[in-house]
Amino acid sequence: MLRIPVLVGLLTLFAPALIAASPVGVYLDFDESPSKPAMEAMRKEASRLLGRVGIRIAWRLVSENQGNEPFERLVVVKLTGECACRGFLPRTRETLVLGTTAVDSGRVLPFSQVRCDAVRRVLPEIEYASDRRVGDAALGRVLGRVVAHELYHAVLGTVHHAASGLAKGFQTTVDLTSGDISFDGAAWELQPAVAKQSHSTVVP
Amino acid sequence: MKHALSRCLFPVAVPLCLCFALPILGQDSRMTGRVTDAAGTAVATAIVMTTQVDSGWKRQVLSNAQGYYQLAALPAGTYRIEAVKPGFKPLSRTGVSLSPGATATVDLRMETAELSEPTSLEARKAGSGFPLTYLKLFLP
Repeated sequence: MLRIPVLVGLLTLFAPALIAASPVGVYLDFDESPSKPAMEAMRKEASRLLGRVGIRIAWRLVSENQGNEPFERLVVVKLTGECACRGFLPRTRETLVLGTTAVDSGRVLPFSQVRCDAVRRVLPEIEYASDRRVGDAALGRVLGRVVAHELYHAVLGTVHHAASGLAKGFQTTVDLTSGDISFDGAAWELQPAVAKQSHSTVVP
Repeated sequence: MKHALSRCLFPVAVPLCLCFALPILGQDSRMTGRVTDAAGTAVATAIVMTTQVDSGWKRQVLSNAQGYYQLAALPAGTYRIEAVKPGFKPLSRTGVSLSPGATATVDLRMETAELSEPTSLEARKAGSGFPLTYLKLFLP
């Protein structure tokens, strides 16, 4: 009998704190229907990388947006091209633009674009030869790193790149496909933004 | 013993809960509206940003396919509203007053902006023979 009012009391008491820890809403917008394993791997990798610097992500789809879910901060990421590991695209020596974030009069807008067809060129041929789910997972991991990089710009509102780590403007295929990568080089830069984000959530 | 404890705590717990809950329930004001372009056509996927001027408290929402947005459970006060979307000039509306429990309708008409060519950063090639991939900012 007593449990419900106590629970309600605790929830209302801690509601401001829960809101303060609210994640960044990231809406994904696809040109074509993506591979589910690739998208799962992408979300997992981007969440892991950004989670290390204190940024939590709530993933949403633009196609399911009703226009009524509030976030303290949100970003729209459009994924163009085919976001699935099929139809091998050979590597080229040209520089590939994998992702972009919009800027208007020097102000970063929370709208990013990730080019799946360019990211597919980053994968080695062996990934295409393997089991499709394995290939999709590998593609998703690379996509997650590109998405995390663009969210770095969109969430921080900065056009600057770091000298090292995932916030670098240039990444090698090795950086994006093997081992681990982090925002180490820009971690100091991310912290004030996280602090600012928390500060601005104080409910009056 | 257990019942006696419940009887003692219940009169304390209910007012305590109401004490915390009422201020939150009482601030359930709403803001709603539609984002359109100059011709009145719906602008979908625009980010509508609301900021309570006095406190800096912020909430953002994404307009739906018909351009509509709705923000519930907003604290009463004066708000600044912005709408942004690439291809449109950022729109700002100040002094939007929201009284307790009220619903304010704020329609936002955005003007298209001219996009310039993206600034291209220098391309580089890896010495190993692999191409260097490149993450750059789009500068319209």
